[in-house]
Amino acid sequence: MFKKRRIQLVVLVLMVSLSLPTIVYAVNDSGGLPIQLGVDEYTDELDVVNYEMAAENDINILYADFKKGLFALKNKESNDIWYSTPPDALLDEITVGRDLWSLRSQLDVGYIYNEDLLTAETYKNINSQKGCIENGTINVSRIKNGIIVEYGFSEIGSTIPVTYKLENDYLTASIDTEEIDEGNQAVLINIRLLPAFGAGNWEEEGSILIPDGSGALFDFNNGKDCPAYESPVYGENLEVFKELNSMRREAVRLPVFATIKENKALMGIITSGDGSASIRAMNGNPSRGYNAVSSQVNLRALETVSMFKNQLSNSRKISRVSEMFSGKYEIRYYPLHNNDCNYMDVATKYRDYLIAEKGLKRNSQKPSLAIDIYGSIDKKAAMMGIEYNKQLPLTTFDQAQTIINDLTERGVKNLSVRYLGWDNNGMLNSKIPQKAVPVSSLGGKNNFIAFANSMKDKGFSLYPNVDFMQYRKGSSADAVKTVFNEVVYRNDRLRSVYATRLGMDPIRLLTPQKIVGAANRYLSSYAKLSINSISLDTAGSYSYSNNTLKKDGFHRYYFPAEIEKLMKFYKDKGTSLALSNANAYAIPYAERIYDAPTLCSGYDMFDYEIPFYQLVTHGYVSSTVMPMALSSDRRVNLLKAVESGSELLYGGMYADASQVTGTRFDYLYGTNYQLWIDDAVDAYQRYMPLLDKVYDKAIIRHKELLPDLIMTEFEGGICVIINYNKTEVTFDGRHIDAEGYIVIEEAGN
Amino acid sequence: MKRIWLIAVFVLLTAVLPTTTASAKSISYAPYYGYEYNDYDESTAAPVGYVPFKSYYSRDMGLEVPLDVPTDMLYDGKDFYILDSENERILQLDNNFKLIKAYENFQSEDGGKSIVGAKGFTIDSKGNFYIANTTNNEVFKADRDCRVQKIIVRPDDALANTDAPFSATKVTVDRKDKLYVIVDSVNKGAFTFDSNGNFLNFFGTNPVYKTSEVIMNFLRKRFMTPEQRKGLKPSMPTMFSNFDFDENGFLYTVTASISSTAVPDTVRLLNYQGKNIVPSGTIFGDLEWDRAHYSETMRTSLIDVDVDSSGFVNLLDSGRGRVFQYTPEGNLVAVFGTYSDQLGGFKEPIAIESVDEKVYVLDSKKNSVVCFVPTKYCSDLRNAYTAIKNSDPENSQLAWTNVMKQNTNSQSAYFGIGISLDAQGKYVEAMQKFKLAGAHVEYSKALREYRKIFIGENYLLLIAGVLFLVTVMIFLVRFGKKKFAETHGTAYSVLETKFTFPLYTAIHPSDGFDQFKSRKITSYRMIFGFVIAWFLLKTCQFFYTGFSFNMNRPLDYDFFVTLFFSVGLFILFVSSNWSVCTLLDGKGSLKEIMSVCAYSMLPYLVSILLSTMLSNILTVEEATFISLVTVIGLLWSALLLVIGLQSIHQYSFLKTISSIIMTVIGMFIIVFLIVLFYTLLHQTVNFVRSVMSELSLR
Repeated sequence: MFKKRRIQLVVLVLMVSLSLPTIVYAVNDSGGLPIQLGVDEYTDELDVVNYEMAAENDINILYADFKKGLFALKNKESNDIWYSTPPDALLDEITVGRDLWSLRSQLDVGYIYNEDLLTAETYKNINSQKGCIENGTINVSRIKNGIIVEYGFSEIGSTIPVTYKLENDYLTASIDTEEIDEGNQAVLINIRLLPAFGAGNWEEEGSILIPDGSGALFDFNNGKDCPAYESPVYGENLEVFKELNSMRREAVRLPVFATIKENKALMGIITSGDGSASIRAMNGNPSRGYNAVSSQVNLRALETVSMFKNQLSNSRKISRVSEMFSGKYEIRYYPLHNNDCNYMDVATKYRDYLIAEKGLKRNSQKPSLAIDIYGSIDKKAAMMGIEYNKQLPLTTFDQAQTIINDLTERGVKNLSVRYLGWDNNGMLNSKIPQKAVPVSSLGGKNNFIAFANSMKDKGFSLYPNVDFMQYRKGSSADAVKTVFNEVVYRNDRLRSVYATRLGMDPIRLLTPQKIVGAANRYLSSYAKLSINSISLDTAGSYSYSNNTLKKDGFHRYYFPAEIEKLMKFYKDKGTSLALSNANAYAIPYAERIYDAPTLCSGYDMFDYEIPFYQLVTHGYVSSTVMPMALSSDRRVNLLKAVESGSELLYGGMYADASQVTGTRFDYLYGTNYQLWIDDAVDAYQRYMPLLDKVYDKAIIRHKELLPDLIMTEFEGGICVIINYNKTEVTFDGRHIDAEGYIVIEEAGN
Repeated sequence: MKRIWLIAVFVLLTAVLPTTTASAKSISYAPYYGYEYNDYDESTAAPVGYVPFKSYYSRDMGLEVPLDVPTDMLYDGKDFYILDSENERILQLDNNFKLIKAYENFQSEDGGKSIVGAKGFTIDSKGNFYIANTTNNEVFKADRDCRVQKIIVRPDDALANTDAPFSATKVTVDRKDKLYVIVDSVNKGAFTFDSNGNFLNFFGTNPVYKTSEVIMNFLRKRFMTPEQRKGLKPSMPTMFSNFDFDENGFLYTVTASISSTAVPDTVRLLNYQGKNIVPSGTIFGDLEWDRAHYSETMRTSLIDVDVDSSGFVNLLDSGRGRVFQYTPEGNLVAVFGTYSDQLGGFKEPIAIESVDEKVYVLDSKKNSVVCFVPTKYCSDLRNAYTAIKNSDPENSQLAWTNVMKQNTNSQSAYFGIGISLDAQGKYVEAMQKFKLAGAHVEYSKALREYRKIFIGENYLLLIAGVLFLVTVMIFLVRFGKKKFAETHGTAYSVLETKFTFPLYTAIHPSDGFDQFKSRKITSYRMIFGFVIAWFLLKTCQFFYTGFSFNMNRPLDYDFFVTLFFSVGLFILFVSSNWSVCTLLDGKGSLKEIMSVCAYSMLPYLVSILLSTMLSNILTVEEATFISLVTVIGLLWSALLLVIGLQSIHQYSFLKTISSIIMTVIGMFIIVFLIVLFYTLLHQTVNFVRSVMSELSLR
């Protein structure tokens, strides 16, 4: 009896001592004021940070150094403190090069001296530590609920005021471009705001969430020697077309990022100026001691043109910059706290933001099998050597009817169809559509209305696809131009060399100001087709500027607002919308999102890919995965759908798919509907019972149980476990097939 | 008591368990597009063949000292080996790239051996290492205890007439442990050594590449001074960059190409005599290059080769950062990889190895090994090729149909189905598929087989048809002779009327052409008709020549080119002849010249018609018949032309010939003048355009 007690005591002591580090760590981090580590009597005054209370509300406290502008955000309830620059920067012995100073700065500015403007091929950088603090040109003033810090970069003669304010449960950091004093020495190209806010150091454990594609994560200090990550929010600048550009990557669709540490996370949402922002991130490795993610506002575009290209000896390049936009750039930082905080908490918080402020509503669309129908394309034909574009019907309206009937006869109960290439010029506009004219070789207006009515009678959704942005023929008066006023042509590329593919018409983009007008004009004739839903193709995913310095100039900053105008217009007229690969601002307007991102770009820096996009949106909008025929692995594509409760998407045509060989649509190989109808019906039958139960339930938990064995839990308790491994796995007594999944009806795992 | 235990255990678990870092699904993105090449060497969209599966970094391998610019990698059937020469070691890793053993501190009798700068290594059948110690100009053999067994240095006798150092870059051994060494500064072939280290001979010299660059250099050299010539790079054969033995003991060699366009012989398969048995003209690598950005296009540069266990050949292109996988016959199976900071992208790929169908690439700048696995499409494609190799036509047809369903752009799928159908004796269907696949030779073979069957089945009908035709012809000739001999009161026969005159001149040229001057027998309508007929027949020939011979694509038909080469040539010849003969006192008027040229074309036009018709039923081996028809037609027409011109211009025979020669020269001069005028116009327009664009940029 006595011995037993002694043993128990020993064990207890052992366990307490083993858990001591965790407790000590927690103690160090909590309750108290922001601190700075590594300060001793030799530390330079310029490097010492003195925090004072700057603002307070019910939830957070803002501390700031009123000489240097550095601040710390403390959450009252959890006592978590987030520093705008690392508190242990003086202890950093790893970081080398430029990163060393930019990680201690709050601003990192890209600029070009006016005198270099004509020949500059890229911009220079200056950071606030070296450029402002060390020159003593920082001015901090108090305002209600926050501070304004004026960063004076004397070397380039510019002053940038940034406002840091506490509001509700977040901190806003904002820059109003009208308040920026550029001076007359230099022009500003971009500003990286708070590059190291909440950074994780070389010892900490945690991860960084990047909204690349569907979502990506990397663990702190994964040691990979790769360059910093940078990607423009809402996709590449389409007005820049570079030959030989072989980059293939996914786009950033949600302007949200997060640093996740043990029990806490700092989430950033770009709430204003997201159209002209980029996400930046860097990982800890042998030459970089911090892991951080941040955003960058792109003020101007720098474009270069070659003169006298044909005379090699005389050829020279000249550069020019576009106009800066006039508006506010704002990021909100939310400090989150949760035991075992992870990306699901970030997703939930971002979703709450979309519901509260962006009008995201519960999904009312019954789940369906999503189908893309390819209507008609134009193909180059020649009559006795004279080339012309022939309208090639791939699926007439009657044939579409046949496909739908075939599917319903095999037991598919609900379908939603996106009809591509049904009007005007087929799948790629010849001119910007003015009137809705169903292609005559597909059956013309009457057959189209008949098809639309039959879809309505069956209760299926039909979204005819219209593109108001790209066109090939006609005047260039309304086309997007470069800063040198040359029309921007986007060419189809060869897959082997990425050079322009000969024989294909180049595509021009409609200048953004004219998009809403074109869509409005179109609606009047569209409404006569007895259909009240439409697919706006790339309206939700494309983003571009018109850099011309003439009156048509339009900065990408305003692009989201323009698209919102467009979507609001359609919604007010009672037309429901489907979008493709939608950006954040478009998601609340869409009834269905086709081709939502399911993969991330796979940068070396990343360690994992997560369906963050779907974790946020599922239950509030129906989304599909990538078209099955275009995915590189159909089985994985199916699993991705199940993992996120997304609909399956099959793209098909009635004609033999060899018809598209040699055209710019040759990526539609293997899409004749007979080739996939059996698989589609089979997958539908197996998967639909699950989707019926969860289509309007948000995802509340998502984690990896074993390597590549993922669990998703929906509101209401249903779970799915997906096994991406090529071998079967047993977990908790349950057996999951290789590349298979199981559904668990009750919660508790 | 029990409660305290429970609480204690709970505290233990929550406090001591390692704090979890995030953990989620591994990445599965392929940062490149899939493509294949069609019959016209154009790239077409295709499903991605291989996708990146995983990257193994030093950390994943469990290395305390991380990799530092590794230079070579090897798979011996059981384990992987990496030559980490900067760290002076060879690493042995298992199939998951976990470290098994590190071989370092190589010791010879004279002390430690440094392998810094070694670029290649291999393992013989007994497990000994051969290391190409490049910077030390030697190759040495070491056992598994890192004891140097043999050092091979420069064989001075073999390199008597050159100073080239023995900078060995790559080594390999054959089944009999004969050592092959590549020395990049010596281009006589691979050095071979026996197992005692004695030099044997050179194996497999590369031929000289006669690319356009080489030829241009050759021509330029003719105009250079001796000093300038010294500065030129010599057009000598380049040494191949790497090699690998296949299952038959034949050696694949790859050469880093010297130009950005694909050239043959960058990949060779050498038999025991060092002779290349790859079908001649097969080109490996990318077949397209960007003409507009010639100087910027990355050059294909094959630096490593590996033959996998199914016989497929993997080529590593460090110029474009790609891996190409081919069948031994040169059919492209997959292309994958790119230069990027993504999984599946490279920074500096240096070595390639395969384990079954998986491909591993060592990247010396990323210091990692990336593993690629085939997609379902690629696996099906590989199975389809294997089915052909195994001569199993029914399975092969199924396999290829399966491939075609996944990629309707794939011409090789149609080809494969065609071959399978052909092997099963279904020739008509096979011919259809060969047409879609652009396979002219196989189409012709199938046509021959089909013809045999057709004739075999229908020979009675054919004989009857031939007899019928012969009877009709005899009758026509008899009837015609009678008719032609009649003269209805005039001095001329029926044939010698305006609209049948060309028939007469074809058979009685001198008499016929003489009549041009005496009678008004020429007709503008006939001339016009002939020229148009020429144009139409040429067009027919373009489209309707039998597939065995027809390399033309319908879309390539150029109306204006055909017009130029018929109507244009006619006008050119006529005007040139008229000009020349005016100078040479020819008596022929313009209309007479036109008539002569038009009417003498008749045999030629008939020959075009006949040859087009024949090409549809003859095979490639019978091409001579078609040429015969064409030649007869041409010669006959030429004869008529000469006689006709002689007649109307009233020249002597010699003068006619010389006038024709001058006419041809005249044609060139006219063309030259037109081109000159056009170029001048073009330059002016360009000048105006550039001035305007400069103004607009202000």
